[in-house]
Amino acid sequence: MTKQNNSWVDHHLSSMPKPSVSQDKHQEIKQTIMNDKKPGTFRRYSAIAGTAAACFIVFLLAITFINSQQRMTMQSFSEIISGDIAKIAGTDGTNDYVSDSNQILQAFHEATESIELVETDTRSKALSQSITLYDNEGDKMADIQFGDEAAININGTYYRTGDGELKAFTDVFFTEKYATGKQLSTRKQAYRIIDLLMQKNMNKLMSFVHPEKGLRFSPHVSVSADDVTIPKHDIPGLLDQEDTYTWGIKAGKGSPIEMTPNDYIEEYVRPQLFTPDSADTISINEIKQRGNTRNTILDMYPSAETVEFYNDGSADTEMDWRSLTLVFQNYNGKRKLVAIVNNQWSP
Amino acid sequence: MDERQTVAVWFDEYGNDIYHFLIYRVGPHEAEDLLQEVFIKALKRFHSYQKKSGPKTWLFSVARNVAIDEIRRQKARKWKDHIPLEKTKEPETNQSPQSIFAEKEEYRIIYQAIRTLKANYQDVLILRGIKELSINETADILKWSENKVRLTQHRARIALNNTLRGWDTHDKAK
Repeated sequence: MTKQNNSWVDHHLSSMPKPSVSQDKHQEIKQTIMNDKKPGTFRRYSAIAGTAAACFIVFLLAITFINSQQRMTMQSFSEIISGDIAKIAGTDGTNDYVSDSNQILQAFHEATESIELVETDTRSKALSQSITLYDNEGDKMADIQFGDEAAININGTYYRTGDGELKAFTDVFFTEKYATGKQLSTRKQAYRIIDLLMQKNMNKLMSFVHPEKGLRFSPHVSVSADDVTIPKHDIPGLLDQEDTYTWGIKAGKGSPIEMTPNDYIEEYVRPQLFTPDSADTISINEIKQRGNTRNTILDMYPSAETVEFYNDGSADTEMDWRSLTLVFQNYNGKRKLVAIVNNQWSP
Repeated sequence: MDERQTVAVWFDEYGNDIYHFLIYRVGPHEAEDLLQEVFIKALKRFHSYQKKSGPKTWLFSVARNVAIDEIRRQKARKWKDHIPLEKTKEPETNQSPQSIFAEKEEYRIIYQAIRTLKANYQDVLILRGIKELSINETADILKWSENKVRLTQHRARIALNNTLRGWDTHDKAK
């Protein structure tokens, strides 16, 4: 075997042996297909139990049939996520965890082996934990979000499942041993939030939000108690709301800013202008007076940590700068997001 | 035709194809038993079969999941026995490649070389190289984009080539 190139490989692979299944085995498998009723132990039960079970199966089949129009078929984890998992990363909303150890991979397989998933259109609101699976090449295989509810989101699709079925896994994984370090730095946390706003991933965003104060949105830096404040658990469904809110007053015009949350994020928050690559300046814990609106962030949130992303707009005018400030406060030793404050040139 | 008859017909038609996949992906020893598992699973999961992909690629997907589960079980057994996992010795079947590869030494060497590669490479070499499925079918089975199939196949060929070349040089040195 000396000459080795691509066509050599193809040629040899295609001529590898492809034996047929032995006659006996063929017969055996075919009989099993035609006769297999239920898993082994079941057969040992008496005729009465068998009849009862048959009725139950008919009942289940009827239910399945009724539900089939709602795509309610049972799936296992390995049917949805196929491939060999090599690394798992995750977050419980406060800390990040990562591991490629056999113990963790095995714990994941054991925890997921028996989970049965049924696709659903219901969007769950409280999926505050997430894990990401990677294959051997470091490619992302799946994004999984879950919480205390009997629901799970895998790669954007929602499934119903049993209550907290991944708990056996997270009890082992979300521990000091696999934590990637202390709490994320303020800067990293802010980058993460900008990224989640860009992706409109409100489920994940929720995990960063202050549990008691919720998340306040202000279109200008004179933050007040009148600004729209969304409770933490309403964050996941925020962008689906069709109701309009009054977010503040338009600078210069004096008319109210009335729009849906989704439109507000697109028109006022504009996260795409404030990614680490797009922002011109990023200031941490430094309030800069820009424009002529008084900045009341620290009046409203004393001892808050702030990260301001500033985009100075186009070079030929000084009137299209914008900024976005993320405001954090401490909650039980964790840094939690309390406000998203925007600012822009005003006459 | 009811579900059983349909699956039985599929078995007649594609049983050998799935068997080949299992031989190369898990090993000749386990392949027959796993073949049965694949078709039992297909029967149980019959409701999740969507006609658009065709039974052949669907059965390959089921087979791949069965293979992955089996490999996990093998690994788990090894951890439980506290035997460290060594890549070069991974599947037990390497030491006993049965008569399937007895005809030519070359077969045995190529089979063993495939088994040392990473899972994605094995999948794509078996489906594209050995089973000669189309890029489209392979993408469907592996749930990859067609581009990923092309790229991974390209890398897998190089990896296989390098492994074989490595062994060749080693043999000559001896």
